[in-house]
Amino acid sequence: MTERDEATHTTFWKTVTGACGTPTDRRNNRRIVAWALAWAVGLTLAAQTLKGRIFHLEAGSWEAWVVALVPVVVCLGFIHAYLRFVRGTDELQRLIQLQALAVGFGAGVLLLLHWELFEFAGMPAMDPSDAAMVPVFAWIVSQLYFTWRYR
Amino acid sequence: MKNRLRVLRAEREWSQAVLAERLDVSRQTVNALETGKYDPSLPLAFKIARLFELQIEDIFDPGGAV
Repeated sequence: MTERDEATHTTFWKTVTGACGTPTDRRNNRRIVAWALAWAVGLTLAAQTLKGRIFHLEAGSWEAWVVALVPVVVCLGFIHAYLRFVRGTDELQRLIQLQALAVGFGAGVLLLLHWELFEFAGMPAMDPSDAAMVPVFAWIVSQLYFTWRYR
Repeated sequence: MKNRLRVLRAEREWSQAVLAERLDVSRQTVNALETGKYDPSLPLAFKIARLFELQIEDIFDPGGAV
């Protein structure tokens, strides 16, 4: 395996596992993963609670609002961790992130603006939480693609 | 943009990881610079020139691709 092949191979898998880049990147990546996991758990627990599957909360009560806002606060922590990663990483990684975010944002806008047309054309109605996964998925796939492109 | 990064690194017997550490960038960035897939910003170009104790134009040639 040549040095370039080795660099490509390790960079790709390190990107997949979040261990790519400088020591600062790896530290910031761990923070992002921790916040993302906390967000996923918080979102799931809040949804189950508000649907009355864990315990019953009166709609409109302050307790229900607190439960609904907890994952929002955790999400802000995730955004802060991601911004910290982008500010701390090197210029190529910033370019990769910018391009991946452009694709993710574009996919989100495309979906939001065109989904109604697709529904009229015969596509099944989509749950808003499923629709939110499209830009996230596009962002993740784009990161892998652009990392591969600049290998 | 053409550059002599790989040659200069080889002359000093540095690995890509060592050069990346000295420039405070990722190894992927060093690889992308060497293969001409990515052109550095002016601050990074100055940093590279200072590290190799050369002028920027001694390392980078805007005349053509790698």
